[in-house]
Amino acid sequence: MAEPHASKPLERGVTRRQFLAGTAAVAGGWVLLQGGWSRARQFLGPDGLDTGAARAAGYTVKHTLCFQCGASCGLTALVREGAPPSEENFLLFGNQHPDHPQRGFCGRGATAVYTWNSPLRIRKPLKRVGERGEGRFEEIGWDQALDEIAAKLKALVDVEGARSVAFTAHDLREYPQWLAWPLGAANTVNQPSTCNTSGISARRWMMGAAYQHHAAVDPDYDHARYVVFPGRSLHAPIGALHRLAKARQQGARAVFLNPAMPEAAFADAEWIPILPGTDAAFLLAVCHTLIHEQRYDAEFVARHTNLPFLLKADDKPLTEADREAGGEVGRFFLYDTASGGLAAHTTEGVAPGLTHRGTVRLADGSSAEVTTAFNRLVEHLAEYTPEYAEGITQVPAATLVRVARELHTRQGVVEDTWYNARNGNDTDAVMAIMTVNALLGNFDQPGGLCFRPGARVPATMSRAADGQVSTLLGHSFRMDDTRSVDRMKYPETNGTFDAVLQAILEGEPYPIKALFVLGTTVLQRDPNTRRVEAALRKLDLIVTNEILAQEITDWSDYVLPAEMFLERRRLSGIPWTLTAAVGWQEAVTRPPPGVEARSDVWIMLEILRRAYPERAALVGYNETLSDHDTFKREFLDKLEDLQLEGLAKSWELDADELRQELATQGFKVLQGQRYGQVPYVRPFATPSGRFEVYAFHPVLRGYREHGFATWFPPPAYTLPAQPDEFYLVSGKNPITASGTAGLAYPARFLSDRAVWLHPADAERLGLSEGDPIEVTGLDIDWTARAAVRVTPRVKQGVAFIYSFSGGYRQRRVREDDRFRFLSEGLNPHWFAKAHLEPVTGAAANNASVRIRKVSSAVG
Amino acid sequence: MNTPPQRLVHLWDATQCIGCGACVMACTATNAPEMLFREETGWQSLASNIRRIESVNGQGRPELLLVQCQHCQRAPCVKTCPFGATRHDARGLVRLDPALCAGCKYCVTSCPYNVRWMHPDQGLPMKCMGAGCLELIGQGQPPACVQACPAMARDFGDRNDPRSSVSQTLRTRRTRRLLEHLGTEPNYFVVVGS
Repeated sequence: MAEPHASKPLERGVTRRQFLAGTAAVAGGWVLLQGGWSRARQFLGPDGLDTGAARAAGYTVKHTLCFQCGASCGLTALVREGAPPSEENFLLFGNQHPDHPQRGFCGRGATAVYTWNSPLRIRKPLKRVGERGEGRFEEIGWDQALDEIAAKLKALVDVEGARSVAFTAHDLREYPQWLAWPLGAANTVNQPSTCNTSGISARRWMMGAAYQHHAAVDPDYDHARYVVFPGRSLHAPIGALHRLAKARQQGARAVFLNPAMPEAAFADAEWIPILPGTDAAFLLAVCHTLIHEQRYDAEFVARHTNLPFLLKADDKPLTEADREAGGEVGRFFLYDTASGGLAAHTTEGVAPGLTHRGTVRLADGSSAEVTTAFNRLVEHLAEYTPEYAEGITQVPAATLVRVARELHTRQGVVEDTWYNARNGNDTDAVMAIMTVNALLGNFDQPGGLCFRPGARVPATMSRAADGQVSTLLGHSFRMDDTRSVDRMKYPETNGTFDAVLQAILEGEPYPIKALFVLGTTVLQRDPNTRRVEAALRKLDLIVTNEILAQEITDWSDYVLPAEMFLERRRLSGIPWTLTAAVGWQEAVTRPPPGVEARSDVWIMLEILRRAYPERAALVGYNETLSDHDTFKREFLDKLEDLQLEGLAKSWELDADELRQELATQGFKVLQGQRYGQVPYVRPFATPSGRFEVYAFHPVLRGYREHGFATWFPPPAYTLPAQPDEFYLVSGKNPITASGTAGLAYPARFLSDRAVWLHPADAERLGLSEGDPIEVTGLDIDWTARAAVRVTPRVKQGVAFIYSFSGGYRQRRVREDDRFRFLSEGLNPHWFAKAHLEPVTGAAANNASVRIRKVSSAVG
Repeated sequence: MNTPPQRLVHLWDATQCIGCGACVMACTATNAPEMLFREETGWQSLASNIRRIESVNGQGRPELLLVQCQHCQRAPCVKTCPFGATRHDARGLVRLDPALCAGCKYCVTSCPYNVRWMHPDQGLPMKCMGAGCLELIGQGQPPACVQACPAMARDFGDRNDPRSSVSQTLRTRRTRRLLEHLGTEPNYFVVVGS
């Protein structure tokens, strides 16, 4: 028996206090250890987790990364060695190592144990026996399921080709490739358009592809002084919030610009209620104020942005190709105040002028008027006065001016967004955010907007631009067709599932007839539910890998029980940190008794093998790996070993030592945060190497008339105009708002499924707290009922609902008293018409609705 | 020389709390794990000793309040218990002796903070601190809610120890107590400013 209060620090100097601080562990913990805390306490000695004591008592320490949402925060588990999988045999809590890049977990992490053995868990392969959407299934064996799916897939592909098969995922986006790519199917189209596409596009256009990802650029929360959050609730990752909480103890301030007050704003933060779809107007007026009051960083703007670059009258940049026959189109010009002449932007030692205007002679002998992009920006911003913005945003001009001044005086930043509900003008909104940041010039320094170095975890399978696919196991083959339907329609997208729907419904550009869904809640994810349903109804085959009974499973021909994150091993980079860090997801437990869950990769490869064994062989898969345990040992583990060895080589580390460190503490920081790199040492990744406040790429491609962020009214819905008409906006909370955590039992009490209305709006409609209302779309003919919540946490004129919290219609939810609450409330996508931004393919999920009082919440 | 008795107090920092619910769930899992998938029908809530209340302050600003047993020095529940089942321990905590409790619910109704709930199986009035957290603090560890908080918004300790973190916070931060006008002398402090 271990010493109950052993004091030796076994987790690399983690003190008990450090270990305990923030452990929502307990959330899973006590329940999970039979005998309660009296059994668990012996492992938490005065100096932290006493691994030796735990081991002596038959427990193993395992680390993982939480997948209850996409934030990947660190978790640690004590697992009883050799015991059967049971809630009683593992203890789950936050990884409390003080150096963990994403410490602790939140309400969502605390729901992991509820998910693992949830009554909604998919336990065996299911085959549909009712109509699509009805949710009537029979349980079948794995062999039958895989054989039938493989036969249907083969019959389809042999006739229609592999392009008739589409795949969609979310956080599991690398898994469908194991079937799709050997099959030659280009259409793996995931969730981004409803999440991050607008931000990705804006960052790529302005900072370059290397910094386009939403986790590649983040405020330096540890040293934050002032952060404005347009649209973002910052409820994930909890590690970022934890760091911001520490900075707030040192005086940092957070400002949330949002139609509804996020929970994070309770923490003595400022909430500025703003009309949906008007963020760009607010932020451009901030730019106007920064320039008008000379509060911008002129040195940064001149040296590191393209605002000194010269533009012609046609709003295109002056290039060497304009001035010389055979000149480069990627060489731009600016005015050098030192020499009094023009200089190519690549010329060293020039003193860029921001306000030059003049005439230049072109290669064809003609002359052209040119002016700096800065001059053009000043002209562009002229109309965006605080008063003008007030008329659009309904934010008082004085508040806007104060925020602009505080951003300047406190050396703040504007957060560059991850997910928030969209209105159809969102790429411009993120461009406006980045324009404010460019004017502030607060990049890559303490408290500024900083850049994450990549962890360089080798991909298990990768595809080059020419279609050549290679796996870490040494196999390779070529895909003839790699262009997905969304890229054909939206050249700048990183994933627009609506293009798949169009291919299903209209056969354009060609018909798609089968869909594989891996761990994504399509009916809670994509706007215009009726359109999604019509597409699902038309498909010849729908196969879904899931852990829980989601609404999409009711529409599937086959539902295959997939492993939850607690049951699988994986090596991955840790996002949302400004360090280069890697995390080790160990399998904490096997699936609960009766749950025949399988690895998503195994499912993909087994279907492939049964349909086309020769294609499975392309990636080294054959019948000898059909046993799931053998597959994990001989295939997945080997891949992970190779990943780890590649990672170690990339960072010049000893692979065995790295493996040991990952096993011991669950993570490895490969490179600490380094300030002063971008753009001071390394340039931005744009063609010009500058921060392109004037986005050249979309202008030169003809996507936009000019390159500046612009506000225009949200095109995604009819604007509310009558007293009973409202914007319908959704947003996340820190407890249940993810596709997985939203189905956990605590959501019943810790979230709500009501429609939030401002007290003034409720009074006008004669509504009181809890009253039933009927909600009808202004653009979509969909009517539903819900209860009203009267709260000043929502802006007047706006109806707000939590996303992933209500309006679930799957049969299992309706039939289980404990989970029937999930069928209350609304799914915002019922009312959204699926407006897509041209070029980027970013989707809007906000809508407008009419609300009236009714006598019952049940229609 | 007499050693001063302990005065264990809870501290909740309203300027740091993000309302994530981790403490609420941690409380249930720690003190009433058998209630994980069951509703506490009195509050129609998760069976937790912490209640999450949203309200609006005098300036119209939305506010969040986490309420739990205040461990009042002049606790109405201690006064009203006909059987002496509810009483203070040496550390200042209000405790329930299940052996003496008849389940009359006087303590539930007399609590001005409305933080007790009746366990559907045991018939006992539940509240902070539950059995799991008493085990924790008995080992010198923070209660579950303090451990669970990712925003450093909770603390627990001995107010009579000037070196304790709660004493330091109470000396340096602006705090208030709930329903103080009732004279209950609560030992639950809400940090409201710097």
